[in-house]
Amino acid sequence: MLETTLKALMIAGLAGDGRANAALLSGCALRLRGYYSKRLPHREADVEDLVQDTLMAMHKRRESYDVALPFTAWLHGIARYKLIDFFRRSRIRATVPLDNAPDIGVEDDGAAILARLDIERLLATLPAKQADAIRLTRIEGMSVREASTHSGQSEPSIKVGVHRGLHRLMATLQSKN
Amino acid sequence: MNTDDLIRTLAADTRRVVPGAGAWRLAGALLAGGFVSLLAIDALFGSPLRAVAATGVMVFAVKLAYAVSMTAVSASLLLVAGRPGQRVGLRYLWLLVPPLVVAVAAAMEVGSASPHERAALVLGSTWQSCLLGVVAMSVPVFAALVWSFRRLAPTRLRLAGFLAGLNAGAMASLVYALYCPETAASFMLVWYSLGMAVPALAGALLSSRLLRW
Repeated sequence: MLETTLKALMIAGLAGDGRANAALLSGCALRLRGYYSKRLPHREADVEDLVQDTLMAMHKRRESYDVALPFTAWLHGIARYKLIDFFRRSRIRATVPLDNAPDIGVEDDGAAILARLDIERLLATLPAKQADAIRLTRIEGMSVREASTHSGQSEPSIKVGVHRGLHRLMATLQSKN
Repeated sequence: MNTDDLIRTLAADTRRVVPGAGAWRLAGALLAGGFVSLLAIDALFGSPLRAVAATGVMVFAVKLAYAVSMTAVSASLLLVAGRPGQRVGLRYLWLLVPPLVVAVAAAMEVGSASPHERAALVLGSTWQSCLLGVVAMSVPVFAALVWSFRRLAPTRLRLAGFLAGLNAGAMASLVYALYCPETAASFMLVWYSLGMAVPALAGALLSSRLLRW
């Protein structure tokens, strides 16, 4: 769609015409898809996210359009801002795993980390003694005696803690599913 | 969500926007924030008219003119900063006009004063309360302006934050001028301008947190 068409639709939309606004947003979606996919080649999912994000922003901030100015200049200003914001966000996200890499260890992959996080979240729901017992014996791989000296709990307490804790975790998981 | 669905949802929420809504929102925020500041300073310092009676109307009018012109220039630039797709360029130079006019007056004043009077002209007797008062009174205005920006689209955040702070500082100096007992242009040039500059810098520094969208 051309500037004149888009601008006419925008003005009708500002007057409260929902159909014009829908046509405007569709026209803008096309333009934005072109704009973003040229700058982010082979990243269709990111492009579509950006298109949607920009459409929502331009809808929410319609007041910021000055009818004395070209519509496409306004749209381009918003699209460009969202693109820069995307780069800033994705750069921050990309640096997080690198910073943590030495702690995680070489053999760990993403799935293992996520699994570990899930387990920690589940263990946090248990009483501390049971959680410790499970963590030491089943995750750290200690024997019952080692776990007992390490945690200060008695050996039977470790055994019972593992048994009851696992039982409770199973129950939690089943109720969630 | 699928983009077509999103468009349908958004279009279902198409409300009428009155022409100039963004400008009205900004002006409303500026006045509302200024009013809150006025109430606050009135509670602190009491009646505003005593200072004006002491300094005379002409001196008060000069201070008011400086504050009003800075408020007007920064408000119009702030509106531009909240609306994408415009070239501003040389229009920023308008920000320099009021301080330059005051600077000329201050230079003549300082030039005609004897050397040992000059420090007193600049410092007056209330520079601390002036600086503190203007900066403190800018806070409600700044908060209101940030709120009004939720419907605007600043694409250069640092610039928008700077202008919002400057605008808040200028409005605060307008409110403070009602209470200011000073009479020297040199005093006004230094302390009123500093009172506007501090919130402007704070606005620029806070912009990436407060204005991001």
